[in-house]
Amino acid sequence: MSLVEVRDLSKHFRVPKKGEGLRGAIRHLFAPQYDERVAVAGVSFTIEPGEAVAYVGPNGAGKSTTIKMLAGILEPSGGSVRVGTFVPYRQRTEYVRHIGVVFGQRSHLWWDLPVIESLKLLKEMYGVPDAIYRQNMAFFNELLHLEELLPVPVRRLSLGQRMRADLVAALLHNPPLLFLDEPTIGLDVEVKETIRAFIRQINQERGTTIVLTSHDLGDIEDLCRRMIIIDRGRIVYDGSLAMIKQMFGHHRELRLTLHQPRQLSDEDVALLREYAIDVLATHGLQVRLRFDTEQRTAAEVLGVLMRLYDVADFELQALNLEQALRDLYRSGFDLKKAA
Amino acid sequence: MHEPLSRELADWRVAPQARPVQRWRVYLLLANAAMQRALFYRARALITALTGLIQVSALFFLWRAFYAEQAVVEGYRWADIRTYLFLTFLLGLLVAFDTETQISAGIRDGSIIVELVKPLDFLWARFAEACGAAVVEGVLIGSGAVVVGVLLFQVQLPAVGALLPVVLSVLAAFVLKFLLAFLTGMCCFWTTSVIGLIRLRVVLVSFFSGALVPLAFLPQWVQQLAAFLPFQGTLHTPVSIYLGHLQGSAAWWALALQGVWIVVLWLLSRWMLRLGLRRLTSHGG
Repeated sequence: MSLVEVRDLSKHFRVPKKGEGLRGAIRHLFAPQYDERVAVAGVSFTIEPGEAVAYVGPNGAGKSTTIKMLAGILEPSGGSVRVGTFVPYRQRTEYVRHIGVVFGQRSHLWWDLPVIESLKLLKEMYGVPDAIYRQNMAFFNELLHLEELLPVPVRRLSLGQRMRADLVAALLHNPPLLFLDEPTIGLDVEVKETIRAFIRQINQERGTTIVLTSHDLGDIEDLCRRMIIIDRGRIVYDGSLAMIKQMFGHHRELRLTLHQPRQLSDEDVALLREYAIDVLATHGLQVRLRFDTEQRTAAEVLGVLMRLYDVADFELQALNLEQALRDLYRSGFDLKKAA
Repeated sequence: MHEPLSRELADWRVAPQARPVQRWRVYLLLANAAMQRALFYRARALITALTGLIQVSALFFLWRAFYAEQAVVEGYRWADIRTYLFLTFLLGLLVAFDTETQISAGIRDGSIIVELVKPLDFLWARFAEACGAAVVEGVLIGSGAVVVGVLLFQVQLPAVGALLPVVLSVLAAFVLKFLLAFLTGMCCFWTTSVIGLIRLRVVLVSFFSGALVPLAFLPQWVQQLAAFLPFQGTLHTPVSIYLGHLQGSAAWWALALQGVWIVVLWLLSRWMLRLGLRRLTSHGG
């Protein structure tokens, strides 16, 4: 039986709908109107103990809302969630003893207290035995260099330091399940690496089940074998990262900056098609294209483009997988079947 | 809708190696954290106290002029009024302004979610913090205030027999003030005009509790209305017991009424909290 079971889960928010200006505000006062905003529109998945799952999607796709429902903070509008033996929302205060939660944008520590004081408070709050506490502190200290942070009040910590302290706070009571909502947001590369290595170790050595949301594909490649991609409240893809890489790994994205804009003729379009080049977007002098290295080499593709466009600069990069999958999904392509 | 649980998941329910949690210890530690916070922001507390003292001093001179020609008005002597004003000032500091703004700010900016993933009862946790802050500010400001009280206001002491009911009544006033602040905070689930709400509460409380003018000076119908509201328990009741206007069984009845209001407001707080959490909208996607 799975550790987490989510079925047809949905969440709607009522957003006040105000007209423009003073007139709209006054009208809203007497006859308030609301828009129903669908944040999560019926998602289903299960998570097995010990898994590390990435929950990916653009801003407003419903990632955080799902996590908040899983953590018992928000009541679902429809469908069901079960984690272990709990229905999170209904048994919140008892349930949260068994999970760890980190919100990248907020601290769970007491703002004005030294880190050590916060940790001592959490130790009591979760009933962590002294032996476990000492053992954990030693472990965290080794991986996250916690010692230097202990006497410092949280408000004086840098973002990276704070995130280290917050991770420790979330894991002090050895929760079998850890939710991480954007844990590396705003951090520099070095700190990101430390934190990723730490999370990986927690997952592999302790068997802690991890559910992580992120914008950063780097987080996911490092930590999770499985990813669930969500877009506009629906699941677009649920499967292995490796599979996606196999499908799209040889795709490249090319960004051109032009000297002057150019309207493509039918002939040009045909030429692009011959070389299997897709124009993804054109913004003034910026053009974004995609091609497949298995069909044409980068040299060939660049050659064609140089003839077509008056190129001032170009940038070649591996395809943004998240973006590619979303584009595909929006164009009606059934990823689940293809995978 | 959920099928019976397998063995391993039933085991999962018990968090590994946890020992029983002593809840009172946790809330004591929360109060302790609030004390440290209050100490850190002591300057703010002192400024609040100073503002209160200035306001009350203005009233002091006004009343002195008023009593220049009369000895007793509505059962209050000049000495009573001096004590009354001083107690108004002291009781006004009971619940830190911070307590209220923290609850409402947490709801407004969404940081309340951090509190919700902790295994704590939200209402008890906030109460513990309010107690911690009150203890620090009480010691910090209270001791200084007593000097001012003796020198400027020439405060009279209560009768020895009234001492116990006075202490109980002040404690009850503290709980009531906390609950009123908590309820104001709860309103933030529905509106974003926090400042307006807090101001409204301050005005209502200070009018109907007798902080602006002793209730006895107000028209009969206002006094009757005040008797049916919880606000007088935050000031009028403890001060009346202190001054000996309520004695013996009358004092104990007044205390009982405070107790009833505590129960009512506590239940109301619970109910509002439950409704509010259901309404909680999250920011971000």
